[in-house]
Amino acid sequence: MLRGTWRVKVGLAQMLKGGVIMDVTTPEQARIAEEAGAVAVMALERVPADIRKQGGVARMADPEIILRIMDAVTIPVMAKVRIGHFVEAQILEELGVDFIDESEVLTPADEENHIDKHPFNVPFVCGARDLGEALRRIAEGAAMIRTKGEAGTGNVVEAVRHMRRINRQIRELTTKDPEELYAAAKELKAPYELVKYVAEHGRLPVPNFAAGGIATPADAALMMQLGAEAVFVGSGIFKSSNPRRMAAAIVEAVAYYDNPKVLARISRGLGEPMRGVDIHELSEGELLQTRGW
Amino acid sequence: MKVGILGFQGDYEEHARIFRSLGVDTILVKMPEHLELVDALVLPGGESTHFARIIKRYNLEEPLRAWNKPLLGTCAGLIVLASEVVDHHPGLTLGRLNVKVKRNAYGRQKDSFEAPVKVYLEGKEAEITGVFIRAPRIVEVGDGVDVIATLKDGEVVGVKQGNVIGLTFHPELSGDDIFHRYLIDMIPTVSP
Repeated sequence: MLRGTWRVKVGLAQMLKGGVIMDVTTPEQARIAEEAGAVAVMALERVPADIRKQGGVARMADPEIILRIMDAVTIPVMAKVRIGHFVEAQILEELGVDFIDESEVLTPADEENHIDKHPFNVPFVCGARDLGEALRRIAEGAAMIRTKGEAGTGNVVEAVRHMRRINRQIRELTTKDPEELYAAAKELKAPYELVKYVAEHGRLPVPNFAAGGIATPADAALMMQLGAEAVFVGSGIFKSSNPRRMAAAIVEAVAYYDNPKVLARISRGLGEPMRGVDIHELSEGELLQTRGW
Repeated sequence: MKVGILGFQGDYEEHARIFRSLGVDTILVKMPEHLELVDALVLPGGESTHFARIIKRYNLEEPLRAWNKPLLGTCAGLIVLASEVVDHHPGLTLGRLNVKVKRNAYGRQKDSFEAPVKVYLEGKEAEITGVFIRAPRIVEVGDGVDVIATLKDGEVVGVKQGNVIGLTFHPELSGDDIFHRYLIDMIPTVSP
């Protein structure tokens, strides 16, 4: 009997496809998410919009909060660690968290190195803004990639940019001659073997999800039509005026992302989505997506 | 011949890939009318609570109860096909397999595992690799149900009742096509 194999780690990511992973900060919110059809929850102390507002150093959530959320639901529970903070990851693994997000939303603990994710039994998800970044994370052992987007803004523009870029770069690789792949690897700053895999298969070796600024059912369906295999919704649900309805509608929007008739029906009368921020109003220093490399 | 895969959530693409490698066309089943287009159906792995919600909301519950063509459910698919779920009920059971199952019975993701699985189909024995992801356990096998897969220690991980198959693991993740081929073989051939 083998635990923590690559197949077992990527396997859980495969099971989450077509679903919505929701940020929650309390057991009550976790239950609302589960009842709405979330495939997993992300247990947090604060949602990204509040992290952005309150500033200071954002760290792994208190294990007490994470354990209470794990007790409240039967779906997988994820939690975030700071980039490079492998001890926070050891703690989350010990708690029995199902997936670890090495996340730019928290304040990085190491500005040069990400966590070596291979030795862990628990799978990791990491953010990426382009193909090179995605492949570097996979090389380190990430079993799932998500776009970084710009978390806590309720503005989907950055997630769209990152998803389009990654998929465009994948398409470009599939048109290259085998001898051009070495130079492509150099350009992408990614391992040749992974570059070769993407060129041959036309996709990443792990699921590719969308995250960062998704706030409405239409946003979620947009990301799916752009090629995301599932969607993370952070502040978008519990910062809206009717979280229960918004959660259920986003779940259905992801399941029926290619059916405008369903999308039109479920988008009606949802109340106020989260307020949102124009990306151009953020200064360079306020961007979360530039954390990590 | 077309095989349908319940296609609103889960690893439906991995199942489709196996059928493609066997030269079989697939379509994703997301609405009741899609069921009329297919000769067999797969309920993939995913989250059973999500399946339950969408199956009910999109009027798939009755059609799936009445569906009499070959069916294959893996993991979450097995859970909704079962007649009874102990402890954490997903919100729907279709009663297509007379078994009692327990969700996440081996524990959380850290307890997910790969292990050799013995398969017994049509009097033949085979060994494949089973990938168990937060897997359910079949805790009781009822009347009319045959055991078709076990772990080395004899624990039941696959069952068959008539033309309905349920597995607690994911042959679609290890690329073993034995159950997919068997599903296709159960489709009645129309005489010319």
